Parts: sequence; C-alpha cells; structure tokens
Amino acid sequence: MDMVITGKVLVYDDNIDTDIICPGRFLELNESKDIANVAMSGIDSNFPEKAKTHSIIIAGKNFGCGSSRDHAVRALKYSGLKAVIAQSFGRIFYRNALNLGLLVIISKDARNIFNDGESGKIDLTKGKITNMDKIITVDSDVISEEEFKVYEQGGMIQIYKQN
Amino acid sequence: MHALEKILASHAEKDVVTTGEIIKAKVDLAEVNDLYLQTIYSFYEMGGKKVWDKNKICFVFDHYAPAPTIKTAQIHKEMREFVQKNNLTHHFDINTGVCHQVMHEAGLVYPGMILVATDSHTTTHGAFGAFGTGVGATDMATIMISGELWFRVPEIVEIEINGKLRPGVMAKDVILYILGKLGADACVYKAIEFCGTYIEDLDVAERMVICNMAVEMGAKTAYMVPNQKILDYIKTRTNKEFEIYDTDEDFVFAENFVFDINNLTPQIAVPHSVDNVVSIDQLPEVRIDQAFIGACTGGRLEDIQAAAEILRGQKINPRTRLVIIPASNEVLLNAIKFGFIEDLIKAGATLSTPGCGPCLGAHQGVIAEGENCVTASNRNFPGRMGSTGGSIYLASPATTAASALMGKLTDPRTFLKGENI
Repeated sequence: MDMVITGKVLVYDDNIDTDIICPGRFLELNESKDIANVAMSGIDSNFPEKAKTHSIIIAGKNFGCGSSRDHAVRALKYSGLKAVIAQSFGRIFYRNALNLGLLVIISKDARNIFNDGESGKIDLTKGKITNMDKIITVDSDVISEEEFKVYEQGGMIQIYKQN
Repeated sequence: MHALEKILASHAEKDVVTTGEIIKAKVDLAEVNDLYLQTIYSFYEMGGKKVWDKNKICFVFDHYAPAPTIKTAQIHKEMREFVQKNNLTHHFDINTGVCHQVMHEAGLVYPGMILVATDSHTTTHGAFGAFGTGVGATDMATIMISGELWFRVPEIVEIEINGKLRPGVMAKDVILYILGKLGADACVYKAIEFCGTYIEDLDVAERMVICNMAVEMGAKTAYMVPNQKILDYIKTRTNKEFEIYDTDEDFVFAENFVFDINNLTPQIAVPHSVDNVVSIDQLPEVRIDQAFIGACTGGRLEDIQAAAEILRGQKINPRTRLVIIPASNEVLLNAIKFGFIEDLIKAGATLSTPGCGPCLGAHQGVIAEGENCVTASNRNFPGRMGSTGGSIYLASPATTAASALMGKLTDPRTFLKGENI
C-alpha cells in the first residue's frame, strides 16, 4: 500500500448508516462481486458504476453507524474503494474496516473542501488531505505505523491468519 | 474506576484500566446470529478448528427465522452443521426468538459479565449490569478461536433520567426523546450509564428498551446498576454466582446529561434518522400503511400488552396492516395465556412467529415504495424495513397500536383506559 493515495472522490453527508451502505435484504449474499453490486444502494443505485472511476469516499459525521454487519465494509472494499474519509465513524464499522483492511481516516475538515468528482490526495504519514483541483489542504488523523502495517497486510484478518 | 471499567479490568486480569487503554479481555458469552455465516468462514480462514469453549458460545437464528429464501435456508444449514460439529451447549434455532430476549430467558445473562454478539443491539444487556457490545464477523471469529478480544476502554457518559412517566407514555418515548436531544453520534466510541430516579425502580423490559437504543447514539455499551427487579428476575433464570461492581465515588464521567420526564409526551422519530424526533402533537396528519410491534426493542410481553389494551374490542383501520411479532416463544405463550393475542387477532392484527421480522427488511412484512410504517422497533434508516422509498416512523408500542387503529399517526393517550398502559 502506498503512503500517498490519490483518486476521484464521492461526497456524502452525515450518518451514512449500514442500511444505506448494504441494505438488510442483501445480507444473504456471500460472493464478493454480488456484495459489491449492492454497495451504497440505499442512497445511490449507480454507486458500483461510479466506483470504477472514483476511489475515495468523503463523508460527514458517524459514517457506518447502525448494524454490526461486515457486509457494509465488504461492499465498499469489493467495489474497489481505496479509502473512506469521514468526520467520525460508527464504532463497529471502524473495527470491521480495520479487520478487513478498508482504509478509514478521520478528518474534521475534508468534507468541507470537496465536491463530487474532484481529485483528492491523501498523505497517510503526514495526516494531510488535499483537493488537487482547488489546491486546498486540510489535516486528518495520522495513521500510526502499526495501523499502516495492518492495512498493508490486508487487515487484522490477514495477521490473524498468519499467526 | 467505573463499574464498567472494573468489569473490563477483571476480565483482562488487571487491577486498573484507564480511558483509552487497549486491553485484551476474556469473553463470558459470545453470540452469533444467522446474518453471520461469514463468522464460520472467517473462523476456518483464521485457522480455527474447534471453538474455545462449547458452553460460552451460542448461535441464535432470529433474523431469518424461519428461512424466507433458499440462500438463507442454506445459511441456517451450514450454521447448524457447525453447531453440531462443535457440540455447542446453547443453541437457539428458528423456534425460539430474538437473541436479546432468548439469552436472558435462558439464564445466560448476569451482572458483571462481558457479552459480545454479532449484533449492534447487544448494548441491551446493560439492563442486567452486563458489559454487552456488538462486533462483526472477524472479531467474533477471533473470540470463537481464543475466547478473548481487544477493547479500547471507553469514555463513560452519564445520562440521568428523573421523574415518573404519565399514562400512555412508555420507555421507548424516553429513549427517543433523549436521542432527539443528544443526536445519533452523541456517544460514538463511548459507554453510557443510565441512572436517576426513573431508572432506579424501572422494570426489566423497560430497562432493556432504554439500553437497546443506546447504540443509536453510537454507544459501545450501556450500563444500569442492577436493581431488585433485575436481581429477582435473574434468580428465576440461573443459579450462577456473579459480582456486581460498584462505581467509585470519585469517578468522573466524561459528560453528564440530565433529563426530566415528568411531562414527557409520546415521541416519534420521523424519517429518515433516529434522532429526528418530535412530540406526536407537533406532526401533521401522517397516513399509516403498516404498523409493526416486535423485535428486540418492542416485542416483549409489556409491549404486546400495551397494544392489546388499546385494541381490545376494536378493529384496526381497514387500510392499515398491523404486524405483531413476539420477541420469543416464551413471550408468545404468555401473550396467548393472558389473552393479548386473541385481542389483537380479533382487532385485525397479523401474527408472525418470533424473531426479528421486518425490522431489518428481510421478511415477514416488508414495506413497499411510498408506504408509511409506524414501528416499535429501532431504526428508520432509508430501506431498513423494505423499499428505500418507504418511510419509517419510530414510536412506542402504544403509539403504534393507536396508529393502526386510526390508520394515521395517533396519540395513544386518546385511548387511555384506567392505569393499565
């Protein structure tokens, strides 16, 4: 995994819950491509298509609140998303993301400098997020070396497998 | 230290824990529901062979009980095979009910324990003085292998609730009111202790409603000091010895909130957020297509009784469906014994078998595009109970029943008969 991640962003508001990210009626799905196909279907039926050209989600407060379902993290990860940046995350979503290796970054200000489709750059070690189109940079929480290693190896699940 | 910190410390074999510390704690009971076949796959992927303790892990088939599709039938089949292979002592198949009801009915929940389940509403068990919290499949697989999990010791917020509810107002109204005031992200990563004169003498079922919805504020866990009603209840279910930890007098909460509920009115969380809460008298007329009483928030005997008290001898509005799903078979049998089920069926209700029902939009009464549903359950996110184009109004069981009767959102106090509600 690179220390600097770039990509086009999709912007969402506060309280994007797990029923939006992966509605309950799809929890019987087990195959990764099937789960990816329903990502964000509670709010945007075109998300799987958009995820082919956009790789970063930027959201407001409490992203991933609600259910404990891993399907929410899996849906985004299998869609090809590189990272989710939010002002805060639902607790279980955050744990699931760390476990499954979906990069989640807390930034109070990123939500305020982006519109859909703009290009973003995340510098993980410096804790900086930049809107490349407007050339504006804001702070994010820094990913610690330990966390970076977890992500680099594909999440806690990969580390558990090795041990 | 707070009682919750003492629970964490004792399970991590430490004398002291501090806020923000990462600890590894032993888990007393791990529960897996039937949305989580992935748990078994992760268990094997991570090298698991047998579960760490066949007495301390249970499976509950509630979200898909009974199986509505071939895929979910397959999920049950594979999970049953795992249960049998590991010879699990406690297994709750499709004929039992919702995990957050059947576990305490079976005597598996007690003060001072750590209970981890693959369900966000595991905060419910704070009603019993337990540390209950939800996790996903990978964390659960870790517990199934090792019996342990890492936790960050959370900040603890105190929510003091004082006063006495007026007739027709229920615990659900209290927690909706608090959610509306504090917001859906008020306690993310934090624990909540509920206290105050209202909580001190509160019945078992109502305590569970309050703790259940603590997660809708983002809470990691909820806690109430076990009262005599809780201790008496537990005594009827298990002989297990347990310790009740006291919070030290010098403990300082991260935040304190105080609420007075003496004049509280019935509350509604309107679409599409749990914290979008208003008093029922502030709403314009809202047509109701379906009303639902059930699930881990609103399917207990007291909830069904509240509905029966309003609907006895009446007929619900012909344009409205009323779906009743008791939280467990025990609840169902008692509701039959006391005549509540007869009252409700004669009033036009549809009865379905115990489980989570349409609360998560899988089956047993999902809603269509453009329909309005009033529900005693816990979430009104878009698409939660069926079509993303449906609208969900969270309310108490009494408000839900009154609304089914009138075919529109209705204040249950209109139908008060004596002091029964």
